[in-house]
Amino acid sequence: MKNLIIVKPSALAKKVLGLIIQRIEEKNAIIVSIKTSLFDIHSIEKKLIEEQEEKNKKELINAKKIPCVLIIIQGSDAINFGQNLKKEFNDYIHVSLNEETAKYEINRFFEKNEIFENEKNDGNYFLKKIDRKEILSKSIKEITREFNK
Amino acid sequence: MIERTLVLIKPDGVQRGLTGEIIKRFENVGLKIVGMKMTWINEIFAEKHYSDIKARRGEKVFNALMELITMGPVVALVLEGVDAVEIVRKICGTTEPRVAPPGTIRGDYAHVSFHYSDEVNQAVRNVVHASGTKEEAKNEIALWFIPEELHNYPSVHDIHILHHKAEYIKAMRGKIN
Repeated sequence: MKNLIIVKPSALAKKVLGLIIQRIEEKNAIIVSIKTSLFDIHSIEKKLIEEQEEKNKKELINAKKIPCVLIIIQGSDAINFGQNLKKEFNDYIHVSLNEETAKYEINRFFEKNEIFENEKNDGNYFLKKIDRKEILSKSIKEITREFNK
Repeated sequence: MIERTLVLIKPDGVQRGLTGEIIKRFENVGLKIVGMKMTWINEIFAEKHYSDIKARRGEKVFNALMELITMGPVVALVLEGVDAVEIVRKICGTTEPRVAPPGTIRGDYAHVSFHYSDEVNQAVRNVVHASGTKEEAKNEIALWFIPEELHNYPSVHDIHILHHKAEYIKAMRGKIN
C-alpha cells in the first residue's frame, strides 16, 4: 500500500522536513520516492478533489508555483499512518485521504520508473530491481511541461 | 560567499533510515535545501560521479565505491548557505568514520576504519557523500540536477542567519501566499 505526502513550502521554510522524514522512517513505512516540484499546493488540493469527482483530467493547475517536496511512502498501513502524520504536522503537509485517491495522486505526479517498489510491502528495504536506464533518460523538464499543459 | 553544495545520502544511509536525521542536521544550522530527489543510479552515471577516484585512490577503491553507490536508491540534496561546501564537510566529519569526531554524521552513525574496509574488500560505509571543493560542488550539482529542479524560496532563517533585508523577505513572501 502506498501513500503520497506533499511537504508544503512552509515546512521547508521552517526547517521541519527532516523531522517529517524521520517520523516516516521511525514507523513501519519506507520511502520509495522523493522529488521536488514547483506548483501551487493550495489550488492543487482543491483541484485534486474536483478531478477525483469529475474525472476531468484536461484542465491542469497553472497558478503561482512554489517548491514542494513529494514523498511516496509504502507500508502495510500507509494510509492510516499518513492520517496520523497529518494530525501531527497539520498545515505542513498534504496526505492522500484513502487508497483510491493515493493511487490517483501518485499516478498524477510520478512516472512508474521514479518509484522504487518494495515487493514485500513490509516496511523493509527489499526493492524491486528496475530498469535504471529509464530513470536517467527521463528529464524533469518533460514532466513540468506535461504538468503545465 | 553564498555557495551551493551537493550531498548524497548513500544507500547504506537510506536503508538504515537515517535520511530524516541527516536532513535535520543540515536544517538545524540554517542551510537551505534548494533541491532534493531520490534516485537509483546506474553504472554509467556512477562512473561519471566518481570520475577522478580511479586516478586518486586506485581501481580497487573505485570498484568498491561503484558497487556501494549503485546498490540501492540514494537521496541527493543541494544545500545553500554561506561557505556551504566547508560547513557541510564539517557536519559530515572526516571520510574515515573511525576518526570522525562525535557530533558529526559519520562520527555518530558509523565507526568502521579504512583498514577493515580494505580487509573485507568493500567501500567504507560512511553514510554520506559531500562535495570536496567549490569546483567539485559545481560539477556535481550540474551532473545530478538540471536547473529546473533547483528552487529558491524565502525562510525565516534568511533574516536571522543571513541578514537579508526585510524588503527582500517581504517581496519573497508575496510569492508564497
